[in-house]
Amino acid sequence: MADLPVTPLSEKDAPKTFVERGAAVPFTTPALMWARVRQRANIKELLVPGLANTRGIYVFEWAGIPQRFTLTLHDRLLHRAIAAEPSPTPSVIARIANRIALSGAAGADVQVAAERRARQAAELVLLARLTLTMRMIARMNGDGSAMTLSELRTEAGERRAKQLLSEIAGRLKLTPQSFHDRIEGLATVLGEIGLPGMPVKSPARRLLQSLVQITRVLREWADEGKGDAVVEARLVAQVAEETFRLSEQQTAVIDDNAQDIDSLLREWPAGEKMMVAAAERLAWLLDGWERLTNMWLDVADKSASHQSKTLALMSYLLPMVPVRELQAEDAGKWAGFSTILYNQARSSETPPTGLIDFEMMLRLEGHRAREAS
Amino acid sequence: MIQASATSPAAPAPADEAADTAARAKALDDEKLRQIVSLLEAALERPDGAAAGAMLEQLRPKLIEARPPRRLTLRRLFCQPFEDMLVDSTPSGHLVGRIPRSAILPTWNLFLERGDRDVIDRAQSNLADGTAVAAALDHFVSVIKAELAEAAAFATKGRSLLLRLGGEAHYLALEVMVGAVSIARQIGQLKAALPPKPIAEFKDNHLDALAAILNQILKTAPDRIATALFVVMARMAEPWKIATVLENLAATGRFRSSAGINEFSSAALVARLETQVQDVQALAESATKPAAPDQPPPSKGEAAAALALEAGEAVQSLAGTREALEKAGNKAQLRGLERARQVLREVVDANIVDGAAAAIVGAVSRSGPTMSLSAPPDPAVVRTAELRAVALKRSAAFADLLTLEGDVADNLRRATEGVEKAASELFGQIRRGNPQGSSREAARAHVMSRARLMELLAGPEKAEQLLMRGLDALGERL
Repeated sequence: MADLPVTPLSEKDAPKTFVERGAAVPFTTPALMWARVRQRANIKELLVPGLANTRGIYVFEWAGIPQRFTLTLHDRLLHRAIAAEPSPTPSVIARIANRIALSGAAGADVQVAAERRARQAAELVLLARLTLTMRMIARMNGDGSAMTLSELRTEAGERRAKQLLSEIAGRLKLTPQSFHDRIEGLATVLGEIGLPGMPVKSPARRLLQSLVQITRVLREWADEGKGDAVVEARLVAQVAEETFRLSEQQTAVIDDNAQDIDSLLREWPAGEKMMVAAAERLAWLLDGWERLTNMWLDVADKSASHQSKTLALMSYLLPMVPVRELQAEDAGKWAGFSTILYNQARSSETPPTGLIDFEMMLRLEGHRAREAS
Repeated sequence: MIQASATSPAAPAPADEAADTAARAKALDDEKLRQIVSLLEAALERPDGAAAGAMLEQLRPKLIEARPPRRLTLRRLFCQPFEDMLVDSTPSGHLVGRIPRSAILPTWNLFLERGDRDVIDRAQSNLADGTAVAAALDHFVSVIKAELAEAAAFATKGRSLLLRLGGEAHYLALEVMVGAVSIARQIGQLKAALPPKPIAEFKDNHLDALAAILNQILKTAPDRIATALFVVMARMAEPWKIATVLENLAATGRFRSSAGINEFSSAALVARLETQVQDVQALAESATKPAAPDQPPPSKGEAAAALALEAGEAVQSLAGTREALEKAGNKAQLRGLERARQVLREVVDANIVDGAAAAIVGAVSRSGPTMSLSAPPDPAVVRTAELRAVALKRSAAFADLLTLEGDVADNLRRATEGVEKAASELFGQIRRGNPQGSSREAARAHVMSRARLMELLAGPEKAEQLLMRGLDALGERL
């Protein structure tokens, strides 16, 4: 397949769906810091924006990447691992990336962060399970049977919970096993997203909090006219705000259904499908924002001129929501964002494709270490 | 049935109170952070505000990220004219456009004690009242000028003021502060007219604005021209180019400075470089001390990697300053420059270069097969070795200016060869032992840690080759 430069921001060429937009890949090779991967029929493609200071997105065949770019050791392994994956969604890429990070290929700090992330993921599933258990007992047995999280962690508490849940399963006309399977399935979905009131926030909810923060900070930055990237600051803030709003619709679906847990379990597997769909959509909406918020954090205490340069780059590489993923009432607003973006005729400062910029590689590895902190 | 026991979902226990505060701060939402910062900043103004200051310092990473609105105070407004000249260290000798941050509080307290309460309170009670604030700043200038005049006239007064302020550098800073505060309005105009710092380039409209303000100062307070230039230089990405800016202004007839101005700006460049070198020295010294009495000192690798970044900036400054001084500096300034270079060279050599190869190879051996293949490499040892390699690579970028290029290249070569040799020994041991189960996992981790070190020292190509050889020894493929 030939490498194709395409212009991403015209109506004609902009990706129409999340799958077409591709999933962000946490490469540590500077030239690929904004790259995405997508699957088209049997061919996997790498999408690289901003090469050679152009405004287009270059499309490369995945298999040919090592011949095109000098990759870091981490990315050589990541490239191979993703190649074998038939459906590169954000969750799949995150899982693969964490496995590579755990190997130590991106250094000791990234490895430690990956271990923390894996530990945290397991804890979140456990917490989701406990939270669901408490809710179910409180909801179906009334306040008299309510249990606390600390009570649930004791042996006696666990015995009591088992007995109560067994009664609840009977009332729902489910066998204890199928009831258990449903709770397990739900806890696995909710482990990634979390539930309000859980003592530990999930990475997705932490990222949502970052979107709120970056919206406020950049809006203030623009209002105060701190640098010469006022238009870009405002645009990033607007897109972050809208992405947050769309994401909140998905967390609302998840939270409301988890609240009405008896109906959800009764209407299985339709309930499960709905929850999984909401979680997947949330992952696509937030895909790419981790790196953007990290880019801003890198310059948050730097001068306004550094910040302006970063904002120009951030605006250029914003994860825009594709048109077919939007409701009709939102399409106009996003088309407006695209127009602003297209009119900002700034050249990006994407690093060259030849040698690896050592400091930039360390900075990108720093992002990977920061994500789990 | 629901599994409710097993592991505890509690977050990992924080290592110390500061880490605990930082971890808690990270989870705060905007509103709560705003409330906490507002309370702490109010407490900061009280005589016992040190604890609040320490807590704000612990919150610093979160404050940088979330940027909650900060409480405006008269003290903060008073600092604005000279904020670009503030330095963290305490300079020795002449300050030349530098004000140690530690001089602010004693100076402010002196003003509060000697100044007219009515004038100060009027400004403090309404910080939006420009006239009242300007009156308070003018009052500061007259009060401190009187203090300085008295101190110059009476030796005992001078000694007592010096003691009260906490040292000579703080005493000398009074003069610089008075200079800046007395032209606060013009400095404010300068900041508004010029591009945000660091200024990479002055466009024609910026030069027009700069000339207009400098001419205004020349008319009303000619002895403050140097102060204004110090502010401009502090905002430039390459302050050593100030002479070019002044030449441009003179050549186009926009502003003609006196002959002494070049002397001032050259002295300021040397002073700036001295501060940077002092900061590098301070960083090197802090690396040997623990952050708190009950904590271990930071690892040598961590210190070396941070030092290499700071030293890199200082070397860049050194190169620019040398170029400027070779055209316009005097002999004493050039000698000062060479002294700074020598100090920098010694610090970089002692803390980054000297012994780097031995440390890296030693770490590889300690975490390697001579210990045991049944356990993975010690993460702390691996991290230190990686950071030493990072520091060494960073120093390669500026080694020639410090005449250390031979030493850096030699250490890089010896480290690369040492890692290669240790890897070959490891692969031989893997082949002989044919580890299984958890030992195999551990062996794989050893292979990867060596490949990663090789990447830092010699690039990804060599790293991949080493990884392939390691996997081959394990009988595996990627």
